[in-house]
Amino acid sequence: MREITLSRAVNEAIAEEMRRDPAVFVIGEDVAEAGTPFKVLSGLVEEFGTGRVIDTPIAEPGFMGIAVGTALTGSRPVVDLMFGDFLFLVMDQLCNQAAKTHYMSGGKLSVPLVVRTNLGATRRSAAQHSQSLHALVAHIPGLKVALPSSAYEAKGLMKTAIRDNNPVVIFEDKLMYNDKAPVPEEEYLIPFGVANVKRQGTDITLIATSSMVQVAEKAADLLTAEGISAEVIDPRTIVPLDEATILASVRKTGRAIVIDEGHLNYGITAEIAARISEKAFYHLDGPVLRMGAMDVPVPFSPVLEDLTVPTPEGVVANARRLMRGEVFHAG
Amino acid sequence: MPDDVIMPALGMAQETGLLLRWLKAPGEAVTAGEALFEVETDKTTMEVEAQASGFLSEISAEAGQEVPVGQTIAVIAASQGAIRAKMVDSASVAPDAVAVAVPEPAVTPPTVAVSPPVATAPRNGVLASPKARRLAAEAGLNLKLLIEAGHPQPYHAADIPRLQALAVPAAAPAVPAAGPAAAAEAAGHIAARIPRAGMDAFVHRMQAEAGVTIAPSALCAAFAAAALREAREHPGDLVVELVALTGPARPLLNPDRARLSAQSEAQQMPPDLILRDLTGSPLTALRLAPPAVPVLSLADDGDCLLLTLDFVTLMLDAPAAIALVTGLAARMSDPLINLV
Repeated sequence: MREITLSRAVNEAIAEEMRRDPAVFVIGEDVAEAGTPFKVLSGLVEEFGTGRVIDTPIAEPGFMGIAVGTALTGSRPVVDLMFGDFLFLVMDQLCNQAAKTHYMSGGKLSVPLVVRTNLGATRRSAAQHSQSLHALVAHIPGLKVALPSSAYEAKGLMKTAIRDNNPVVIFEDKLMYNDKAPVPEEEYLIPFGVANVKRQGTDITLIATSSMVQVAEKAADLLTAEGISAEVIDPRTIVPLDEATILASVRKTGRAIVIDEGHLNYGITAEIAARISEKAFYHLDGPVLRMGAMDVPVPFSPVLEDLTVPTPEGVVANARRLMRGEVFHAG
Repeated sequence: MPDDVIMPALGMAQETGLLLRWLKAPGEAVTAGEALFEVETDKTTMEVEAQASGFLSEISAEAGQEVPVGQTIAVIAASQGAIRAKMVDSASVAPDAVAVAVPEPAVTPPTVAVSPPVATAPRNGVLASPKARRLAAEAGLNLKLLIEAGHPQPYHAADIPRLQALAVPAAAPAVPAAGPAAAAEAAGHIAARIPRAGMDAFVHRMQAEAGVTIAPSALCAAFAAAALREAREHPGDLVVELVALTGPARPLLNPDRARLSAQSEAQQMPPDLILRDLTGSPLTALRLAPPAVPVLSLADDGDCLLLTLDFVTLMLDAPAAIALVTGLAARMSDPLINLV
């Protein structure tokens, strides 16, 4: 099977959907000639023209509002938000308008838009361009949230997102744009709410999102050498979340670690850990551990920045403690 | 001469200051100019610096306390020998105040990880994982037996076999060489007959297609380990000792986790299960004294294989024994599907 970069996979997904459905268009900063600063959308404006690949001024609330309006009136916009950190600028349009209009209109109106943005630190982009804010939008009823972990997921999830009649936010990890993965030539879609069990195991379940899937896989390799068999699960979408797969795994292993690149406090890992504790409680042989980015603004210093994110060694250390029954709260 | 540390007046009309927290511990070395404590006034929070160098001593105000301006709240002693503790609620300093043990000035932050785990039970309960509690409840056992036996908490699923071992003597006389009645109470025997067609076909196919010779006993050892692991929900190493009528015993380490052609031998580890291979001989059963370790016998029986498990409930309880034999029989009757 051919291997292509995540960047190429996203480009293919959007181009294919734009060919398939004339209502699909792209809007955002530097999406046309520049093809975005990450060069993901290169070639689209040449094929579809400036009527369907629209460059905007630096005005996020403005173009998000435009996208919501066009989505309400028959179009299917793909909004390009250059950095996930800019979510703060579009919260009202996204969370108060896009997320709630279908419900508040008694089902009469739909907002079939896709927000394409990114997450991930360790790129030396400092605190305001390195945040992983998927927890914020996952919290809002009416929004779906997808987290591709490789080129294969990126293409399949993007196509599903564009065809979904609900507002969807897709977060790509900005460090993975040049990472290659096997991607079929034939068309395929990845459904939302279906987790991928990347490897089977019997001793401990590692649930990881986005680039943390690679961290979990490396940790699983290290753990195998120590005789610990880890199962690795990629939820792919956190809204909707494939609870059944996660719970079945934890009932089998009795131990779980949830790894995400958002900040640890009040994040994705807390939600997944809570659901596991609620619904697989009597199968747990140890507390569900969470690993996330340190609760500090992402540092600009490379040395400090690298300290703030979960690493395979960190996962291995936690897994060992769980296996030995050393995680407890004394007294 | 020790220097007094007083609550300063940080504002014009300020009469008291709220001591937020001490930035130095009792007995800790202090340098003049270093921040010593934090005070909150009605306007702001400020750090107050030490006015002298020495060792912090005789602290008489604690964090969260409202202190009148000008009151002495501590003393900076000139030397470590002069450090004294002072009762917070005492009005005056007694000249012969008792010197208290001085904490080390350099204090390492407490670490969280502990090995081996030691904990005290919360109130009147037992510290155990939800899974351990469930397994104990299902077996009708009380986790407190483990506490009484001195096993350190918290308890996990892996501690349940130990609990079962503790519970048994309560039911029967505790003497190991007990009479037949006690042995019959504690001993178990389970037999299963499996059609050998599936296994023979698999062995034949491996020989024909891959040129690999597999002994049924080796396959049985691997499947037995897998079935035992499942029956016991056992996360650690398993040793299956393969015993033939003649020849040395082979202790196999985790035979279910290695390739059939590359089994590793356990070095000086006690076996969890003994597999006695009686195939190729006219014997169908071999039951000696109640075994300390469960013994699985594999024998020929016409077009079937006979599996018999002899065990004592000390090492393996009845449900687990049944699960072991059932699981093993299922795997042996169709090896191809069950080999991962």
